[in-house]
Amino acid sequence: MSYVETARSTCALGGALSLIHSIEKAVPIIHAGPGCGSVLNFGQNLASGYQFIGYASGSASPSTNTLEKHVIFGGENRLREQIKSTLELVDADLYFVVSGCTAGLIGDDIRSVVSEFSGNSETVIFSEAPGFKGSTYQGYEIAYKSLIDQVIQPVTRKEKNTVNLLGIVPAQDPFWQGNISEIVRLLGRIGLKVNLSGDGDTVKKIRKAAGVDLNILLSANTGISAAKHFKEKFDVSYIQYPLPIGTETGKFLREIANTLGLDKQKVNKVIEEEEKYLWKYLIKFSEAYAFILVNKEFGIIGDTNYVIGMTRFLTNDLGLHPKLAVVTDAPSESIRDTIKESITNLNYDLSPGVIFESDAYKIWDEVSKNPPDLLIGSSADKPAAQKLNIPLLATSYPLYDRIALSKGYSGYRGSINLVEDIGDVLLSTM
Amino acid sequence: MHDVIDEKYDVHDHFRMDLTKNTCPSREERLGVAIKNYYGTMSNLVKGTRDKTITQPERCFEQSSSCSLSIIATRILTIRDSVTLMHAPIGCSVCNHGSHELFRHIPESDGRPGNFNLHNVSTNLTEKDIVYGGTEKLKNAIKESDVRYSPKAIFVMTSCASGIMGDDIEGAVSEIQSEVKAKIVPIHCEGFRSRVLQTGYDAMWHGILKYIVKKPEKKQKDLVNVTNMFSYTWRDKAEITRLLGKLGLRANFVPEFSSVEDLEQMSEAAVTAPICPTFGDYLIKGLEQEFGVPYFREFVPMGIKNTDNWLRHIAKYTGKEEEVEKLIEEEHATIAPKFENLKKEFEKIRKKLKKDDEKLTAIGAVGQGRVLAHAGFLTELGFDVTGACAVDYDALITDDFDSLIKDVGDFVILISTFQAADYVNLFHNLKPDLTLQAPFKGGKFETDKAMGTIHFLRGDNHASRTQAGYNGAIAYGEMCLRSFHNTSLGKLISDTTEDPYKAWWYEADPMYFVKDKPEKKEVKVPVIVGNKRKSHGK
Repeated sequence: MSYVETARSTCALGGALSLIHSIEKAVPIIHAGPGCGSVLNFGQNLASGYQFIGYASGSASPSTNTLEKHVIFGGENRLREQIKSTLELVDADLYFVVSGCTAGLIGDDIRSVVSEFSGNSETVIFSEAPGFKGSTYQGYEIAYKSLIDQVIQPVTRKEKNTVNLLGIVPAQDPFWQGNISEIVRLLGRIGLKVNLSGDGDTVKKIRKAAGVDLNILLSANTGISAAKHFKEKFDVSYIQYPLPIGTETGKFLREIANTLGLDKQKVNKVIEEEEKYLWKYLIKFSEAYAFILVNKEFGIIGDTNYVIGMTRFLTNDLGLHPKLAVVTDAPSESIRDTIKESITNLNYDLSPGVIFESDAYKIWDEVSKNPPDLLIGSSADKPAAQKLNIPLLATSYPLYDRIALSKGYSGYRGSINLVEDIGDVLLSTM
Repeated sequence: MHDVIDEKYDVHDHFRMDLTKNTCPSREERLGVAIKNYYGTMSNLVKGTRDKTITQPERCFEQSSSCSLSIIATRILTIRDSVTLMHAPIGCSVCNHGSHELFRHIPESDGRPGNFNLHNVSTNLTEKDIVYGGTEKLKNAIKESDVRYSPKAIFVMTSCASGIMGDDIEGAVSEIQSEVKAKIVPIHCEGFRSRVLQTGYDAMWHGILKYIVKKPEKKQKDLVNVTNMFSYTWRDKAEITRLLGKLGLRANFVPEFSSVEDLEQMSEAAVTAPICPTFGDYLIKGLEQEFGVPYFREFVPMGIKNTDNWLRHIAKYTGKEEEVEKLIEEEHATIAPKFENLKKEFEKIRKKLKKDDEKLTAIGAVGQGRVLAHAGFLTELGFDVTGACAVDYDALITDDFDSLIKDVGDFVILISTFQAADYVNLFHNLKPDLTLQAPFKGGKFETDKAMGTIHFLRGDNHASRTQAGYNGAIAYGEMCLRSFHNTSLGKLISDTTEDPYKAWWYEADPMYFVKDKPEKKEVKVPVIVGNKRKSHGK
């Protein structure tokens, strides 16, 4: 990737840290420069709906704070004593060493230092995630593979109707907790038990994660290599479905049910009840809709997950007109056609223009050539939206003018949240 | 293993800056004492600095602190007609997100410039660049920034990655400057450069002094450079503008939310008045050395007495000595009854919480400069300053600390760059009635007592969010007072957050992780045998 204005993700170290912070009682041991932990805390917690995530995040994260002398003489000794002292001071279920740019560039042998602690009663693992290796999305995959290789244990017996969820990157998706909890709720309703949800998983659960029937990868772009690695190592197959929003959720639940051979009638009944709930609130909204939203054209700037899910919901369920879809998480060329298909294959022969772009200047160049009536984007899009007089709902990273706690946009209930938030934005600009 | 103090450095700063160099020396290179860890009394710190026995200890446990890049990026980004270009992997640039664009909601009627665009740009160094070098990418990014945004200045900030890769920043910049309209300002702020965060400030000012500040065409006798701080809100600026306005003076706030022109004209000002003396140190000395702009550094305009003195110093350099006395008298007439009322309210609380004539205790500050501000202000309010925190410490402030002790008495100081475990240990042991801190302490904050803040968001434009000047003394005092009236937040955090630290830590010396420390696992609250008290209650 080249030159970028307004980063829409952090770096690989940020992605690894976000996964670590989502695990219950896991502590990172950062082997990087003195600012990395706090920069990523500012950049993730504060710019992701001001949520404080993690057992020991930000300035509580143990860190070697590499200085010039370590750059010159190597940082392995410093890392060794940092692991030792962290074990002495911090009470955790998982000690997750993660290295950043400085360690990557000076070539410290992290694996060998960490292996010295293999005889300890505490679980000490590592990931090499220098920032230059990629974005938050890639760092999440790097760290997930470390969990697969260093924590998850082989099992002799599979637990029936149990699944793991992966692919939603904590804090990179500001509404990750709400998004996950709605999917967990719905899977529970069709009779499935979720082992790893991706939010607050215990180390105990991670250890036995190979004992599930199926891995559900809730993303069209992130986590593919982790899910493949999981399959190769522990023979757990996976199904890939981008985060469903609105009635798309029915298709998602049916596909899961088919794959696992669940009772179709029972699943259909759940979907019917859930849709009834959704319609009840959408009908309540119809009066306002007629005033503020009818026949409007919308644009979306977000990562693969949000762009697919929201475009499908707003077009197929809410009756809006898709104009522009900007995918910001730089999926690899080989999967762009599939992603484009999910965004453009909509009901009523409607389809938006799709571009893959991460640079704010180019994104806004595109938006201003063809401005929609409504935009879903990030807080960083606000100044440009104001200039073009387009109402903007910020849902994506960086999100620094909203608070994101338990709310989500996924599934049935999340789609109602999306309608409410769009309505708020439109009404407050009228 | 301790760093050895180099004899050639005096604890007094006789430094003469050399703007032909690419960057400043680090604080530890420049000063006899520049450290990021200490726990003890202020008086011992001052004594140890003067006899050069204070050294930087080696620690075997640290938590993520902050770096030269991040500490200035959030400031440089706000320079309105510039581009912040980080020559770094993408992650470094996200430090700006949390405070980006917070000014936009301030009404233009409050003096906020209408048109501004802040550009946070990264060369986005990847693995390929690490192998082949990043200077071509940097040159292209500079050219592209110039074409895209037509800025007046492009700040090129270096990172750990670009530093270790060895990219020749100066070479790239001098090669390309003639091709772009904007002034290119390289700032050498690699995160690993210095253990003392404030080196970042100096690196920023070095770039600004070297590349942006113009030779004065005419002196502007009514112009006062004010180095404003990250944690000061628009209301603080408004208060300072109001006070200087009454003296017929104009404040030139730098660097926060200034224009490039504001920076250019600093050489024409009558005086440079810092809000934090060590944040602005390199600038104020540079402006004097290069352009003869006088400065003072002793006072911070927080609290009534400090504000009086701050204004008097400005008046001295602008010929407003008579006017300033009139202003102070007027302001006191309005403020004094309110301040007396505040003190009465605190007295009511004191009677409830303390025995006999015991005073309420408080811990404040985050930066070393703010130790001066908080200790003075809290004393004015009738508090006993139990302790203070500072993210780092250097010999630039030793004399000020010495005067402060003479003024308010001795107290405990913890020097620790955002080390969350150090802070919980300190607060557990000192148990202050009031805690004033920034919200970067990593979640676990064990206090069910009054907890205030020193850090408002810059765009928070409510009158209650003022710290500076006379109105700030009242607003900030009222904030402290409200901290006592409802302590549920502190209690909630204290009761419900999981504690990552093992129990022994709370009984340990906070400097336990300093290598070669003989004493293990025992509380050592420094005993003060001074002009105020004999010991600290645990």
